[in-house]
Amino acid sequence: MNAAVNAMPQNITPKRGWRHLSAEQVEAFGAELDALRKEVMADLGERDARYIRRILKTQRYSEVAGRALLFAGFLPPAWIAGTALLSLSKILENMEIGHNVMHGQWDWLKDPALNSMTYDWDNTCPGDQWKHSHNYMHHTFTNIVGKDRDVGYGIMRLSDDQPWRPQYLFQPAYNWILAAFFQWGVALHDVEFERIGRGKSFAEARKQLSGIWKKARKQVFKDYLLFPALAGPGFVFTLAGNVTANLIRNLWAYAVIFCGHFTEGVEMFSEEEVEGETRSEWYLRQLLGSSNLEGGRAFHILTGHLSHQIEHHLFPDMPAHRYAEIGPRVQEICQRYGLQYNTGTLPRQFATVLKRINRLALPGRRRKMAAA
Amino acid sequence: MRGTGWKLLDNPITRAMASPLSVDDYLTQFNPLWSVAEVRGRIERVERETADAVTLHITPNGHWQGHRAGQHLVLGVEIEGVRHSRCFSISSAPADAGITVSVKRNGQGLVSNYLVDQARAGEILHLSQARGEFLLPEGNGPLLMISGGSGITPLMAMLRQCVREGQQRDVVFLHYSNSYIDTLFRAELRALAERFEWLTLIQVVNEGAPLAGDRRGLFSAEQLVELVPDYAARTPLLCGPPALMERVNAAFERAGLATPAQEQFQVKVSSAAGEGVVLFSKSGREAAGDSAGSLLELAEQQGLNPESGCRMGICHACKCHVSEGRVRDLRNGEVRDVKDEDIQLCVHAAAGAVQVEL
Repeated sequence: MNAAVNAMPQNITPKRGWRHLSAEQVEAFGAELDALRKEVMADLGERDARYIRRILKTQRYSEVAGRALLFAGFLPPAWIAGTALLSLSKILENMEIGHNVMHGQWDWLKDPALNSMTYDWDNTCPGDQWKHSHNYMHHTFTNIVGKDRDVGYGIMRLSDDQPWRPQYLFQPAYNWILAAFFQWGVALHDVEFERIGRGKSFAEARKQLSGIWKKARKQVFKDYLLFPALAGPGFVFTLAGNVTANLIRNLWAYAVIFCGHFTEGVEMFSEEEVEGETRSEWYLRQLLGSSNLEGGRAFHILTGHLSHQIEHHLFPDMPAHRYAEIGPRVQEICQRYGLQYNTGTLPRQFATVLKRINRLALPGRRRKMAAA
Repeated sequence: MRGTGWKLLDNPITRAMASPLSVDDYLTQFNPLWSVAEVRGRIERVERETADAVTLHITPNGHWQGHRAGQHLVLGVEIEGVRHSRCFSISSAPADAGITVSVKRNGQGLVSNYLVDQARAGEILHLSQARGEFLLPEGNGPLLMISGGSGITPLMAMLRQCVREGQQRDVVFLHYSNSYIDTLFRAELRALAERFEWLTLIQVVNEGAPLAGDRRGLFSAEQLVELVPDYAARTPLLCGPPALMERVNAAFERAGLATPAQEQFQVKVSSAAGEGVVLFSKSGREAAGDSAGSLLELAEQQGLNPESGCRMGICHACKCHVSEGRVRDLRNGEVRDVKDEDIQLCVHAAAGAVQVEL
């Protein structure tokens, strides 16, 4: 970087979505969010503990009941109920418990069963690798093309700024394969296959793969061998129930997560744009790079409150059930500063995601905001 | 079910069924006392001892391996949803059914105050096994038990053991407290002293008129000689607040005697160092707290390589155990004392002596 650029105030580059704000306004916006965070974190207590313990209980009971019912899986109603309960339990465990616990949202309870450093989720992705690829890479470098590997996961083109490659022609199709096997995509995510041999050693990748195998084989053994075997003659029914529950969880997680950053109007950033970014500017990038889903209380819980992706990205270590409470206040702050607060129903938001996937399969770029 | 019964539930098959969670993650949901290995207990009864002290009668689950008189345990309790753990001496004798822990309200002591004011029958506690080397001496030699305030609890356990086992052991029980009304186990001590020839009870109180044989004031070497002329011939045992223990130890040292076997139940809080020194306990490195911003930077400066991520307090990758110390939250400038807590190194700086497990 040359001296002239260095001499400029660090926050001189106005980003697209907030170019109407002065540097002071940007800092004031950040201060309001800091204050909001502080207020909520100071208020955490028994109510929050009761909430997460109730979720834990619901998840464990539904899992036990689901797996028990699947032992009677030769009866169609038992199979359907069992599979539904097991799907519910897997969704709750991955979304509202696992993801959020591993963010450190519940560390303050000092309950070893809810500690981010020791918790591992019911997923083929090992917790430690997830914490690196997600908590660190994705949450710190959100929507920075070339740094945030959640932008396309190394296999898809989800931003105009990603150079087109012929393989992307097929992404409208393999997108659905990713959806069906989402936990495996998540598991392999941190291996960064595209970087192996280029900045990432084979040895490191091999170490990660062995960690994934160690973790994944337990999940495979449990769901596809152990529980079916325990069902004896009902092997096939239990196996089918477990496969279905994992599939339902995969599709659900995929849909919710893709709606978090790839809906219409979500902004992407370049590495140059964010150089020397202040904390307030980081907030702005999180806000403009995320989008919410509207729905009822149960819906929010089933998404692990990732339906409040904006609030989650602003305050990743805040207990997630608080996002629903502060959502209106975040929205009100955004309104005052004339900032976009991207929200919509799941069908509407998801349709725009599919549109993006289909459009970017073809070469060429279109930056609506940049043209403005 | 005994501990071994539960251990049968902890086998490769059940672990695989629970994976990646633990068997306990499921058992606990059905009954909070159920566990394949953890000691937990239920408060059966809360007995008020004095205006600011209670005895908790606890029934531990099958994993409890018993204790020896004088030992303590780590007791974890949930207060406003947050689990807090502290050490408490066990006040019951090993032969008693269940265990008792006697707790006195203690200034700012969050856990003690909670237990005294709010603990209720039915509450579940997380317990450790009994630990500690402050034990009733073997044999039948004469004893001198010196206690102050709630430091009476481990000595009470020893005295109760002497009584339960019918040991006709020559015991002088010298207890220091504010007043009679404040004294833990006062009625029981008096009754025992009346009943048993071998037990001499002497109380020294700070307030009010002392009864016959008792005294008023603080511990002094002269007082000890006067009250227990043969003290040098007895095996001394000591537990009390830091000030009393210092005085007793000094008196024994001056008399050329070995200091008593003792148990500290209150660590004397050293005044926060003006300029903090950070001790990285695993690597044994030490650094001046002001030579870097965050504890994370300081650790890295020392050539340590703690896990880290965002360096702005969001990803929690750099969380690390701090055994104790005073830290400043770099996000809001607040200074607080931490003890046995995991903190994010990247957003905390030393504001006094800090001991980090790195």
